[in-house]
Amino acid sequence: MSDEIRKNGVAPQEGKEEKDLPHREEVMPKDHETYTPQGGGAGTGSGPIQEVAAVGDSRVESPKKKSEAVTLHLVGPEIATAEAMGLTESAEGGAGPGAAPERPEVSSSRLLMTLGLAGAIAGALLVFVFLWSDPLIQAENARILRVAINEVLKGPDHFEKLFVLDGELTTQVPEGADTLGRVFLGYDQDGNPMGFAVVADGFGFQDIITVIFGYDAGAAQVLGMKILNQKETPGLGNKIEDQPFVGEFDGVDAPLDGVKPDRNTGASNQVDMITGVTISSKAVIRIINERIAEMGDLLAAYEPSGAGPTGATAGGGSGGEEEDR
Amino acid sequence: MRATTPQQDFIRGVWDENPVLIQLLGLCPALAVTNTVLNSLAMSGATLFVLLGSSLFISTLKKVIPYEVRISTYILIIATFVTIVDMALHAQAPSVYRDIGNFIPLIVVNCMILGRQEAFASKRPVGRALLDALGTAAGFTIAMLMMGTFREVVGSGTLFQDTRWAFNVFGPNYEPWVVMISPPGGFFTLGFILLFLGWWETRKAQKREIRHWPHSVRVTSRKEAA
Repeated sequence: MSDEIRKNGVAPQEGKEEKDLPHREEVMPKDHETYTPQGGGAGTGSGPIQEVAAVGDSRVESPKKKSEAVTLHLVGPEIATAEAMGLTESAEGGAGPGAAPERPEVSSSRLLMTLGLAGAIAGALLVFVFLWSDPLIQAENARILRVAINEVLKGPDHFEKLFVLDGELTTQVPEGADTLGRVFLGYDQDGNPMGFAVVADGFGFQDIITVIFGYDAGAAQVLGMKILNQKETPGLGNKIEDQPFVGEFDGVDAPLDGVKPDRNTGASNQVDMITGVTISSKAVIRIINERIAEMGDLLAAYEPSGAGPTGATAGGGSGGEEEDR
Repeated sequence: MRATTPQQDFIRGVWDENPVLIQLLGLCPALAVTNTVLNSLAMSGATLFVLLGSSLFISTLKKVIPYEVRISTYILIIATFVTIVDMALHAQAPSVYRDIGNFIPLIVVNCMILGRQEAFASKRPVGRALLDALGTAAGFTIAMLMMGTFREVVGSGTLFQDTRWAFNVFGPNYEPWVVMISPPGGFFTLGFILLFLGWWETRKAQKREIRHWPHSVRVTSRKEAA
């Protein structure tokens, strides 16, 4: 019955139906009757209050103990929602600042002071939390970067951080200068440069993919690749993080050429893409190619300043403030 | 205001007015981060901390906070605790933070939390407010774990993945239902859980219902009527 009323949105039907079917009154629980007008689409903002009040009434009136319990349970969320919206406060008339029906005028200076004070305390508290957590976060980010560099350069003895400045690579950055980016130059135990670790990012299938890759500028060869951050489809796109695909990048000549596994002719610049993950695979290859095209000459032109372990050793890299997400 | 016992204050949030399953509040985290048990637990822990902290402060300061600016003050307090939990999680559990970090700041706008402050903590003694916060957080955790366990088992075939207790539920040859750990899987899971709960409640109601003459006319429960 009430289904029809809801669909048609016509309240007057209720009266008609009751006339037509007199026995309904006996059958329907009392609370039902009070409930239907609301379903008829009163549609005012005060709806929830009425409803809650009606429920309260019916609970008192209802002679049936058992169905009363059920009713109470089923309307739980409605009461809760009304409560959450702060609509029932005046009806319930409890204690506390929010519930007093007549509130004294509060001066705006007090309002401002409350908010200002609360803001100041919150700010001060956050400063302390930040002071505690920031070094830990930076250390973790540096560790992630260090592990990544280690992986893509196949275990350098140590590495140094280089900045891209005015189209040149430099180890020192003048105060206040804007750097375009950073690369990491890894050395082997004898102090010979092994290759650069370069961070690059670009659009994948869903979001920006950030990769780091090892690059031997002299031989124009990619040494290794690791995904730093990606948000590709779980189960599909995120396979670009897994070993079969990552391993494809070890010792590949630039520029890379992504091919389907069955079309691989064995050329030294071919990378097998993952079946079903073509877009993400292509994106990784494109990101690396673009960065090599952009920086390849710059990296090839760089003369390592000396063999000295000026840069970070495996335990260093403390300045690596690379965001990890 | 209805008088309640401490037990009622606690248990209400756990089940009768479970924030996710009954009130359908806080659905954003319930849908977004429940792809593994670990993520569900981390989000529940973060929410527990924010709920407890803000309930404690708001209940303590209820006489001090002027009515006109109460919502802004509540949000300020909640946001402070959320920022603390955000930084702490980032510092202490970076791998978890990688997964759910984007959703931690969204706790600020979780209506479950603001709702408890406005409806309860701002009007009750501190102890009751804390009990209520605990109950609500427990109810939230139950719902998150229900979803997280189901989605991880079906969607990845594992349980407690990324922890030391990780194991394969169905063995190595299980082909995971990848859709279950992606966002649509969250909707499916929540939908089925709510469907089951609704069916269960209706069945309970029907068992209790008193039959009047004529027997062919069934007393409809409120849920059916609505």
